[in-house]
Amino acid sequence: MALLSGAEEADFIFLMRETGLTKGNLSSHLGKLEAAAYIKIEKRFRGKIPLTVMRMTSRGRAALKAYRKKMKDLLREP
Amino acid sequence: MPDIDRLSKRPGEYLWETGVAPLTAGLCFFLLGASDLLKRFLPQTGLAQNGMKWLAICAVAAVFWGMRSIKGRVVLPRGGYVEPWVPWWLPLLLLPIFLAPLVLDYVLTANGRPHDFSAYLDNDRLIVPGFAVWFAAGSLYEARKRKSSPLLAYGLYLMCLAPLTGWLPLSPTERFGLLQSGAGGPLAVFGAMRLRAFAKANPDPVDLTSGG
Repeated sequence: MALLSGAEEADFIFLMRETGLTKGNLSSHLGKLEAAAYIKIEKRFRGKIPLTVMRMTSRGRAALKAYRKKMKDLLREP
Repeated sequence: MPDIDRLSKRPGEYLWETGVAPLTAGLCFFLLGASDLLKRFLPQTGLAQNGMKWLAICAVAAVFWGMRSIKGRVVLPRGGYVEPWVPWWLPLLLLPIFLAPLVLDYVLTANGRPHDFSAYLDNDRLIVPGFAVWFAAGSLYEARKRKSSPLLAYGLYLMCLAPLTGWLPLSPTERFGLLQSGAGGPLAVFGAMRLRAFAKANPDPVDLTSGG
């Protein structure tokens, strides 16, 4: 989610490379995030090569913002 | 807990690491600066001077188009595709900043003769070196923050370039051109080297499958 928040859109290879997760593990995470409407998954073609592109939704951005705020508040508490 | 701020900066950093971003920025700076320096050797007519300016703008547009192609063919199949997120208000903020000098220049050169901006800045040799020092200080600060030795070398180089832009007998426009081309050239070379190293370290998956 944090990685996608800094991207307009990103593909599966980029996310796999940056997170260090396996294909199956990342797929499972992305499926759950899509089900929660936090991200949108789009299948495209770049030439003849299939491309799976992920894009964060406004709902996802709001959820991440709320999570960050909550974590900051927690860390500030004595 | 993962550092969210750090992770959200990764898409932008990734394009910097692949060499695409410094190569694009460096080439654009270099072309715009070189066009300002070359104007000195051209006839002082509106056609020649404005022609050079528009040629530089076209060259910059060609760089953006070429880099888009390189990004699509070389970088993205190897390391993955990503488009950094740009807030909606940023283009609205940057567009007037880029368009204002062009509009101003067009208005001032409407009679067909090139306008001499140096008339406003005559006898002032501090503006361009000051700008170079500010740029160098920014590079050195970032170098310290990121612990990057190439950025540190670049900042020191800009510090050396700063007095040169003030000392040489040039017009203010040429001084600015010297700074732009002097700052852009090494950045473009650095970007090209990074891109080459990235392409070597990450073989094209299409080549790998056809080879195996």
